[in-house]
Amino acid sequence: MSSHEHVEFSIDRERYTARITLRRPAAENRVTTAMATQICDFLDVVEQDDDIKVVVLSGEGEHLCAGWEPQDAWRQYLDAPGGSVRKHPSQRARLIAADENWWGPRGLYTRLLRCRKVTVLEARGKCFETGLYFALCCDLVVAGADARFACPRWRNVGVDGDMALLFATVGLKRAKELMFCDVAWSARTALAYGLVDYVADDVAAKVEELANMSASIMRDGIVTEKYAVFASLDKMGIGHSFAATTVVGASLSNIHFQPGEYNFLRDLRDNGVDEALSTSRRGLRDV
Amino acid sequence: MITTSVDNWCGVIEAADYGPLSRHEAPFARALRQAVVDLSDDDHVKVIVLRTTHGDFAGAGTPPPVDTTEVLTTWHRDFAASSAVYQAVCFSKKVVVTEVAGHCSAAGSMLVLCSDLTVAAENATFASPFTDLPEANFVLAALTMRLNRAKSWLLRGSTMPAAEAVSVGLVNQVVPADELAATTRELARSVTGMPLDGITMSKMLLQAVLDGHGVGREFDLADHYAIHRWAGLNAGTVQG
Repeated sequence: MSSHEHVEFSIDRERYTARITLRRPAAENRVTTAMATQICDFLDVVEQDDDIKVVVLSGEGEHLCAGWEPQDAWRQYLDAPGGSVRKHPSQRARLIAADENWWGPRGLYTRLLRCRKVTVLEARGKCFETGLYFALCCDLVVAGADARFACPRWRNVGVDGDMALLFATVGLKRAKELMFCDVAWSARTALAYGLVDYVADDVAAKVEELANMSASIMRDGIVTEKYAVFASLDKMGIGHSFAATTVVGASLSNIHFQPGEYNFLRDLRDNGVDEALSTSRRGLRDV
Repeated sequence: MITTSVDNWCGVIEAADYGPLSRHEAPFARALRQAVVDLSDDDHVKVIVLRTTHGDFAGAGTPPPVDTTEVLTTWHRDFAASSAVYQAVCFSKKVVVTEVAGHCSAAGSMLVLCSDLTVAAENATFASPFTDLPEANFVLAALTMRLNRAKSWLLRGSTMPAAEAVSVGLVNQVVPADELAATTRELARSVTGMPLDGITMSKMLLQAVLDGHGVGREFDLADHYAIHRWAGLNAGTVQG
């Protein structure tokens, strides 16, 4: 077992399975840039280990992941090249951070989407923002009855996620409902829309069943099928969409607010993380 | 013919019904296109609602054949071009909501496909746009309903009741007819909570992705579909 500060990694060689577990339950497993990097480092290990066929991703506690850690989301721009040259990070720093950490070839979402092993997600409680993208990028998703899927950050600044992947998974109009209407999908709705594969009372048991089933497939079969998926992803424009997302996402960090519009960053600065998150998610409606 | 109003970030376009689009009535198409463009450019608008004041969202109608030379000029300009009515809706900078009651003929279904969100009354029905309209966009249908369902709609030329439309993802909500306007208002209100810049940039991102999927190229093919369809009719050689 290997454990970084907030991400745990273990390998069960008898079952050909690796586990990556978010361990920040006090913060509802909100993901930081450092955690994203750690997950990518563990995926490096997985990719190089021929004995691993399956990766299970989960979160400790009630929630898979309640989104980005807001203060860290801004700090990533400051830490990128060109990020601290003036009062505000440069546009290139925002682009580089979005590319390197999340959407680019070495970013978390691309790495997970293009992992050569079978990826299985255990989705519980809040699956927001990064949690939603875990569901989109993993091969198989098992949700608990209490799971909720949403991207409340889009409400604050606009849509900075990958659209092609969301469209391909749930369809155009349902994707737009998530983009524009301040809603969270219940596990049952997510199942009906095709975002999750199973809703289970015993999530861990169902995940284990799927992991064991996947691990029974021969290695060549898994990798061959995954490369067939990668080819389809390219044809569906996922890579193009990731690139557009990087550009627009970086630009959205520069938006101007009209009088009366809610400014999340100002709320964050004035009232702290918990209150800003609570205020910004107050209108989230379960469907 | 068409009226517009703006209140609390919401622009509303009202017509008696959108059936004239099914009959390829160019003045109606131009007026609707202009209303959509004007509200899209209005900095006091975040959401555009397409609503009807009478029973059906788009009454039935079939377009008359158009001569080949007109297809490539006037018809193209009004129904297929990047500046024409459907692309004005599809690529609007604001969130477009269609509020559908009663029958939705071919052109009505095209408006539904081009809009971002759709609320339908329980009595709504959605005719396939592919039977009569060369400008019907199959890529949009496949992205919205998924490939197999879009193919079925195209090949069968069927009309879907509201309950089926919501189950395949063509509409977002189905409500009793007397709750339709209130539901649309609530949906629009939920959208207007986003910053104006956020909505505009989100729609720009959406445009890039739709272009990547070939939605624009499918509109470009409308001229070819129209020439094939009407060349036969003009010559009187099409059967059945």
